[in-house]
Amino acid sequence: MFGPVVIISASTMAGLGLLFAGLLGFAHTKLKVEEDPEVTEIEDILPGLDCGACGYPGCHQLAKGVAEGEAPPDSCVPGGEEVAENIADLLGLEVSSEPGRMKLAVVHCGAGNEEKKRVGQYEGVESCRTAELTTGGNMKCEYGCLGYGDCARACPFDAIEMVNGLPKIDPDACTACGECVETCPRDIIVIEELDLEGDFVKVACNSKDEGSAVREKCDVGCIACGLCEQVGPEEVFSVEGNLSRMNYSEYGEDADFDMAIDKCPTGCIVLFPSPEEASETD
Amino acid sequence: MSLLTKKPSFVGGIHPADNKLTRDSEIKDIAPSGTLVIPLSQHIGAPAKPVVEEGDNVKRGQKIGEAQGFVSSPVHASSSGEVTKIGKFRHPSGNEVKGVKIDLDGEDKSVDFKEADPGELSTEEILERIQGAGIVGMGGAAFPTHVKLSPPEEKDIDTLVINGAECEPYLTSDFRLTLEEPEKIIKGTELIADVLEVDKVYFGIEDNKPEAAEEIRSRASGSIEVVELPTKYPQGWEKTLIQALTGREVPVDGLPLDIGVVVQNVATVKAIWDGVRFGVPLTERVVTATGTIRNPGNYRVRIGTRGKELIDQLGGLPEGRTAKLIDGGPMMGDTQPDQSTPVVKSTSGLLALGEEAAVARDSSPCIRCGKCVDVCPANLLPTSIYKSVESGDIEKAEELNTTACCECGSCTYVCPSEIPLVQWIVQGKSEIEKRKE
Repeated sequence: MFGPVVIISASTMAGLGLLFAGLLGFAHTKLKVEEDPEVTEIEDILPGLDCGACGYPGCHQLAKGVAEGEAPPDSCVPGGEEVAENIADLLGLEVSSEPGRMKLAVVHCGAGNEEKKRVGQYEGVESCRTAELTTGGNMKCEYGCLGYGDCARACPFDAIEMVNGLPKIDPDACTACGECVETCPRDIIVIEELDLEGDFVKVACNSKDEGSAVREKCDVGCIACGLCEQVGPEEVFSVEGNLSRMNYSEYGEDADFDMAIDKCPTGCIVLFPSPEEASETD
Repeated sequence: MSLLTKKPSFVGGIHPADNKLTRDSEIKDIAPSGTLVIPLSQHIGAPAKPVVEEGDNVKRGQKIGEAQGFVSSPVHASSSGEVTKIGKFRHPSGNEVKGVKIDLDGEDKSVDFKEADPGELSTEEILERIQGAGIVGMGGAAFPTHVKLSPPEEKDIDTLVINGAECEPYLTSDFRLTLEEPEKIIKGTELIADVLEVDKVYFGIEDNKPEAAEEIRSRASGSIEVVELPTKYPQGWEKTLIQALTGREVPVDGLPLDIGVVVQNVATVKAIWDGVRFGVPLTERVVTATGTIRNPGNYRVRIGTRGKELIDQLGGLPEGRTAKLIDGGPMMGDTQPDQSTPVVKSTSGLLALGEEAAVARDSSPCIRCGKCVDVCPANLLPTSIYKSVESGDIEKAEELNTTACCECGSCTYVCPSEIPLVQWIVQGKSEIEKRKE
C-alpha cells in the first residue's frame, strides 16, 4: 500500500534531517563561543538595571570587566555594599571601600525660591542647561542653583525632587551614580563620601565671589569669613577661593558641628538628613 | 519681477515687517551726563587691561584700557570725569565683565587728537592707528578691525564688501549714517581698499533704502560698485551678502577671507576714517532708539551711556508695562534684564517693546513641516539640531554643522509650533564648545 512516492519523500526528509543534525552538531562543538561561567554568575548578582553608572554600557559588560580584573568588585553603584560583597565573595576578593560610609550627591546651594535674586524675566526653555548656556542664567548669583530641575529629570533612580526651587536628594534612593553632577551646568552637585554615624553637614553655597559681592547677590551665601575654620571641628572646614569647603574624610561620629552651624553669619552651614533620619520622617 | 531683471540674493530668508519708524529722523547728539560705564571687553578677543585707577581724572579720548595682544582692542574714555569704580558690570550680552565707571564732570574735556594724512602713512602705520583708535566691527560681532584688515599672507584677498544692508527690522542707524556722512564712508572705504590691495569693491544695500544707495553711487568714483539687493532678512549677514554680491560661498566654519573677501560694516568704515585721518578714537556711535521709547530717533551716543540715561534724556518709557528692552534689533538683539546696561561699540539700537509686541507663547511639539529648513540662510536643519540638542546627542548636533548657524532667528520666526529653535541651537553651540575644552 505504500507507493514509491512515500518511500522517496520519507527517505529524502530523513536524509535532510540527518544532514542538518550533523551540521548543528558540528557547529555546536567546533564553532562554540566560550563564555566564562564567572561572567554569568556575576551578572546574576548584579541588579540588571543597565544604568551605566559604573562607566560600562550595561551590567553584562561590567560583569565581563569584573571577571577580567579590569573593574573592582564594588563598581556597581546602585547595587551598593551587598552586591559588592557578594561579588567579592564569589571571586575571593576584598571590598576596598570602608564599611560604615556612603557616597551621596550633595547640593551646594541653599537659595530657595524666596532667596534666589532674579534679574529680568526668563521666558525661554525651562531647563537649567539651556538657560545657563544661552543667557548666562537669570540670577544675580552666577554660581547658584537656577532651579529648573535638570538634575531631577536626569536622575535614573527618582532620588531628586525639586522642593521650593532646590533639588532635595533622597539619601535612600541616591546611588551616587553621578548623572546629576554631569547634568548640572553650574557644578553645584558633588558626590561626597559621608560617615553614616556622623552628622550630615554641608556648606550650602557654591559662590566663588568675594564676600562683599556675595552679600549683594544672596542672603544665604558663603562670604568666606573663615569663622567655621575656627569654631568647627579641627581640619574639617577650609576656606579657599572665597568659599568654605568641608573635608568629609576628616571627621567621624564624634565631631561637633553645633558651633559652626550656629556661628555662620549667613547660615549657609546646614544639616541635611542621613538615610536613617530620612526614613524616620517618611 | 522677471527672471532677467531679478536682483542677486541668497536662498532662504524671511520677510518680517521692517518697522523702520525712525527712517526720516536725522541723527541728533545726546549730551553725555551722569555716569558712564565702559566695559573693558567690547570686542572678540582678550579683554583690555585697565590703565587708570579709581580716583583718576580722565578726558574724552584718553585710553583707559590697553589691548592685550594682537586680537584685542583698547578702550577709551568717552567723556571727562573721575573714575569712581573699576569692577564687574553687566554687559549687554548678559555676562558680567570688568568695566570702568566714570562720574562725569559735565565739561566734556577732550585730549588732543593727532591728525595725519593717510596718503603719507604706510600700511603698518594705518593698521596701528586703527587698533590704537579701538575700532571693532560695529555691525554686531565686534571683531577687532585691524585683525580683519591683516589677512594671512597665503590668503589672496581680491574683494572688499561694504555692508550697508541693515536688514534688522526697526534699525536705521546705518541708513542715516550713509545718508548723512557718505563722504567719510567713501574715504574710509577707499582707504581700506588700498590697505587690502583689492581690485573690486562692492557696497551692498537693501532696495528699501534707494536714497542712501544713490548718495554713495553719485559721490563715489567708479571704484565702488553699489548693488541694491532685495529686502530680505538676513541679507546683512556677511555670508549671505557675499553670496549675493559675488556668487561665492563661504565654507562651513570658514571665514570670508578663505574665499578672498573682507566685509566691513558702514559704521566701522566711517570710524576707520575718523581714526586714521583725525586720530579720533571710537568713543561714540549712532544708536537707533526705537519702539515704544518716547521720541524715537537716531542718536549719536557716547559709548558707556547706560540705557536709563539715554531713555530718560529722550523722555522716558511710556506708561504701562514695557515687556522687553532689547540691545540691537528684534531678531538678533539681546534682551536686557533692566536699564543698567551701557551702549557699547556694537550697539546699533535700543528697542523697547510693549506687552502686545512681546508675547511669549508656549511651544507645542514639532510637526515636521520643514518651514525652518526652507528659510535657513545657512542651509541647516534647525528641527534636527533642536531634536539632537534636546536629547543630549551633541555628537549628532556637531555632525549637523550646528556651529555654522548665525543665530538670525528666521527658523524661530516661521515655526508654527512656536519652538524656540535658535535657543536650542545656541545651547548646542555652547555644548559643542564645552566638549572641546
